[in-house]
Amino acid sequence: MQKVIEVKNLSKVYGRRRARFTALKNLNLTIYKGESVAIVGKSGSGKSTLMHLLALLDKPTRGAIKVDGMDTAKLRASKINRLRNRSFGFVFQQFFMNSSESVYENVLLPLKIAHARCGNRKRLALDALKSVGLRERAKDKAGELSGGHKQRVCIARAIVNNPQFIFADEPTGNLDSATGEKIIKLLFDFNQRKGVTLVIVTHDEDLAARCDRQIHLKDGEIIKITKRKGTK
Amino acid sequence: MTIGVFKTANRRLWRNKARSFLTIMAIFVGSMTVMLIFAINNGVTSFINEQTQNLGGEEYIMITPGSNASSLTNLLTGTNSLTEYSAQNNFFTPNQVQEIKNLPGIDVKNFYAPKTLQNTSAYLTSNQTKKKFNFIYTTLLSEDYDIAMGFGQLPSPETDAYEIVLQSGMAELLGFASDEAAIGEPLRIVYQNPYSRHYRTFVARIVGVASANIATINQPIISTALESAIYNFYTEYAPESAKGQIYYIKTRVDLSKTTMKELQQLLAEKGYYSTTVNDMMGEMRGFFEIVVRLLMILGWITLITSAIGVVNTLFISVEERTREIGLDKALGMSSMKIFINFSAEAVSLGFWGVVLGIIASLISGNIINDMAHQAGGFLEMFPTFELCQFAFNDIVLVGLIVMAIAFSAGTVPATRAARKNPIDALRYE
Repeated sequence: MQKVIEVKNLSKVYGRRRARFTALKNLNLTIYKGESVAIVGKSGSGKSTLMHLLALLDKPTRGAIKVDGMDTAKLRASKINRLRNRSFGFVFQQFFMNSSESVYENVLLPLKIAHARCGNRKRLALDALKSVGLRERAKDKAGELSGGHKQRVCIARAIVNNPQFIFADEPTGNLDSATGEKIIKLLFDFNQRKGVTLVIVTHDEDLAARCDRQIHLKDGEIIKITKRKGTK
Repeated sequence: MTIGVFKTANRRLWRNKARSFLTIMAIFVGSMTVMLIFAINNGVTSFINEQTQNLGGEEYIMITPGSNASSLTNLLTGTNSLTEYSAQNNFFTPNQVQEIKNLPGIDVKNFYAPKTLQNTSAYLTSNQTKKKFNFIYTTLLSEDYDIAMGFGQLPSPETDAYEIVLQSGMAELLGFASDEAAIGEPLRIVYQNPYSRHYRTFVARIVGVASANIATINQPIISTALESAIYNFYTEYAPESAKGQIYYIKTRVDLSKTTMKELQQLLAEKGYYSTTVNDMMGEMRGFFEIVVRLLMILGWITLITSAIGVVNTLFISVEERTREIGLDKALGMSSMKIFINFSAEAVSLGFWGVVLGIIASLISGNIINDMAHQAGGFLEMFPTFELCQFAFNDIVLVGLIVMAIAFSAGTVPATRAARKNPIDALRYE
């Protein structure tokens, strides 16, 4: 299997001196193309920090992260921005959307940042909305949607650029279980149909169990990596 | 792409209508003040220049024999007072005229030494009145004269006709309904020769009425043909000694060869008295310049205060949109782009403020001008004094400066936005 993310001796330390806090200690990890990985652990275990580092939203204190074989420490800021824009999709627990703007505008955001051509943009955004089942609500204000619909819009936004990865931070955290279930289905659907590599940070054991692998963190260290039952 | 940036910026400003509106209003007031001050500066400057032109422009100098000094000043400023009599030095000798001509910088092509009529008695009257008025005239010495006309025009220097231009208000004294009504009407000028004691009447047509002004000679202006006719009548019976007396010299100075100051010093050393336009206008101009400069400072202070408003508005905006910035950054937007976005908002605030300010200043400037010239208005006396004059260059300049100020004010909050760390920004509650 193709390695898409390689993590070597990864450490993250926040603060200095007395306020010094080690969030991650010497992590080693490999993520393969098209797999789904759950990062699990109690709050404070460092799982969000790990995801932020994997998604290149933050820089490690020590250690290396390779994406597609490239050492990200050596990449220029513009290249990292482009990587996040073109290859990564993000889904957050708190949705993070411009509630005063339309659903369509929200989905369009990554394309705008990428300076995609106008004609193309519209088609891609509407396709993405169609694939999460919200084509009809494109013109509604994002703030007027229910939580589940909001998260679907965020998924549409995450996939609009046809990314290689989707990073989801507690995607079902703010949703009731029935709605959460629909969101999970959508995410795995993209994972399986389009071969998108899925990295999910979650508390939800059911959700974690459905991923190919579960990375268990405790106090900034990987305590074990488990595989989905029924896989080798 | 740039248009897109400004479109987005304006949409974001629109999201916070009240706050954006108030900031724009602050810039609006500042730009309007500055614009009006620019306009008033133009108006005052061009009025002063016009007055200066009436005196022959800045390149001209009036020279008299020493003892005539005070009477010359009175003549030019329109002040009436008694002057001290002196039997000597009342006129230039031909040698003195030549001496002055030879001074460095004197432009002999524009050198006027008009022959003066002494002891003449003349009056002016019209068909409309039985009253007689003392007649003292001014000759049109130079084509450079750019006298502001209320109605009609100045006599052409080449004309053979007897033509006269009245000063504002004279027509009514002469029995005409108004300045305008007097145009084309004849006037009678009656001269008595001081030697033969007989009378002659010259009929001159009124070709124009000069508009009121504050610095010109307050006398009718006559055509050169009429002047030489009067002079010929005078000299017909005059003894040789009374002919060709020169009371004052007016000449252009070639300022590339000398400065006015040097020339005046030289003249003073030789015992002549000289006056330039700047001598007369200098004080007034200096006063206006100080006033305008003070106003200008006030205007800029207002604008700078409004710039602080821009900083404040954008700081609030950056705080409010912290999450949005975090999301933009997470989705791959560069720090530069975020800086540009916020700067575009700052510039847009400046743009709308200054556009409204300029429009308002144009409207209010015209209202001020109209009100000033209405009956009873504070500039009723000076119909050519347009207080507020807007120059296209100034409009562009003020526009650019205001937007530059807004941009500079925006750099601090925009930098803060650009530096935000995406995760901290996303976590921001």
